[in-house]
Amino acid sequence: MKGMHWYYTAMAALGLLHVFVFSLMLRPSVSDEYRDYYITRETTLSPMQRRNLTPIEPGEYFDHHSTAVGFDGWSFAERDHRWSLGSSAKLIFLLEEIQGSEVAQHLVLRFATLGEQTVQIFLNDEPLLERRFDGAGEVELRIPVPDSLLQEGENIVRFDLPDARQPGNGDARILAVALRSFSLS
Amino acid sequence: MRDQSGALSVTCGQIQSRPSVRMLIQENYGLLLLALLVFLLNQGLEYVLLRHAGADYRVLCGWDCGWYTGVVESGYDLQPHAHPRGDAANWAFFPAFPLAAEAIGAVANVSAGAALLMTAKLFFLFSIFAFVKFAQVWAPGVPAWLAAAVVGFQPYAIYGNVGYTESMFLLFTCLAFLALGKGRFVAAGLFGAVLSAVRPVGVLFVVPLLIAGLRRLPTSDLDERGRILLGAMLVPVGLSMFMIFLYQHTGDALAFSHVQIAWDRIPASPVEHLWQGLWGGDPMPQLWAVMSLVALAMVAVLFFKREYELASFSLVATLVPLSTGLLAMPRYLWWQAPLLLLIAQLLNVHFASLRWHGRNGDWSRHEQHGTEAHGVELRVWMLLLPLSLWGSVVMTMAWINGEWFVV
Repeated sequence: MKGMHWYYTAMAALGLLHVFVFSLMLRPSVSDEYRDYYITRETTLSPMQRRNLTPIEPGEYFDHHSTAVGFDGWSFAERDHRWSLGSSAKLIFLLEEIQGSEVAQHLVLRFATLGEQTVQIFLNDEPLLERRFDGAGEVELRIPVPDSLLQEGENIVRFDLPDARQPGNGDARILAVALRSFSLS
Repeated sequence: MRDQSGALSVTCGQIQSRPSVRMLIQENYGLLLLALLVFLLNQGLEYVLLRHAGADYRVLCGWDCGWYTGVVESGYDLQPHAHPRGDAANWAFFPAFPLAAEAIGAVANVSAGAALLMTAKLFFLFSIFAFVKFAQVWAPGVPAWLAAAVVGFQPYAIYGNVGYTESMFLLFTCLAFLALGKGRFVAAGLFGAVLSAVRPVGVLFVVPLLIAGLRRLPTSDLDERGRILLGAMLVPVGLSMFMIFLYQHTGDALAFSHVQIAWDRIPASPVEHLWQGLWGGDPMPQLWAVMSLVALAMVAVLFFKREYELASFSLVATLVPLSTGLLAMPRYLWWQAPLLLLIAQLLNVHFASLRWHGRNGDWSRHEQHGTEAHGVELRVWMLLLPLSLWGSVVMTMAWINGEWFVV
């Protein structure tokens, strides 16, 4: 019975340990960026990539390799472009100061699409454009930016891509837009 | 005398004494020499290949060994920092192996990389011995030399030499199953606890332990039921300690799992990964998918043989890594003790006899009466063991040459 008593004590201690560890699992003490990227996977922009974003200037040109712009919901940079992943993708950029509408009047995007695609573009959740593309070749869009849509700090260009699909060549990714460059002018 | 489970015991009234260390060494002297011989042959082959390639031992510490080097030298990262997205940290690398390497490095006074290689090799030697002992309990028909050869000369034996956890994982899997096979549930739980601090799937040893416990339940007394439950509760202790450390260190007890995103290992259906591997067009993923299917077929064989403990462990130890992708599947598969045991059993199958008959003087596969017959029994290992050795050479050269698929 003495031996059994030892078992029960050990089991009770181990039970408490496992309950404690389980409780730690359920309440991570991490930053929002960490949670969004590592735990909920709501973003594909890692905390370090987000920290490394630097304010951009109108007139600057950013290709698909740029680290100054955050690619959230995009695949890795290929030689000529970067594919969107899934039915929504975002470009995140920082602006230092807003001095009226002369700062930036157009959003300039160069991209191609995977066959026929409907592309809806939003800036800071306000719709800018909805258009259907036939996938015939690369396009350059100059989208007028209404006054007051750009803001100091973080700005988000969101692509909603309802026709995103697998390309059918063995690539399992859900693709729609192959982005080449982005700029404000 | 030996009890029913094969454990050596001396009974005198109610007193049972365990064999002394000296007795254990005397009893296992031959097996220790066998393990040492196979290990030295493996090391000799590696040395020849390194010389042939004009490389030295430093080339062996690559890929994950580099990550373990970071753990030994600087401990666990406070922030992710590596890879193009800056999202990789060394939290994915479990602590038991680098801790052992740190201890060996301190004793031998060598660099972290050298300590990791020495530690892996030491565990490799012990794992050959432990696998033979494990085979003697779970498949007594397998000759000791064949069991040793299956570990030492298999195509993926390279992972026992390169500063990876595979050899430590095999050693503690064998020890845990050895204890389980002898009905020592608390010892099995303790070995399982170490296993759970070696690799994420180590904690899954709780499954075979509980199955073994359930199988013994009808005949077990209250004392044994207590030991079964205690053994099962011991298994996750290694992982729990690591999770507590990670919570203190990063704020996320599951950081070891969440950081897998840096290697694009995102949990999905194993079927999806198999399908993409088989039909994706790239030959290496195709090979790994086929290997995974072979491993699952072997698991089915183990279930069919009613080896539920072995089968359940290999099932979960295959499906868990498979659910995150096919990369590195060969080493996750071919360092699993149950699968290696089944391979040893397969290699031991006798498929033909060649007999020399004195009267008519010819070789024959058939029995002939009235003649004096001499001959040899043909077994599968005679065909496959040389092939396996060739595979081992190919994989070692691939590692030395830095081929991507050895990762």
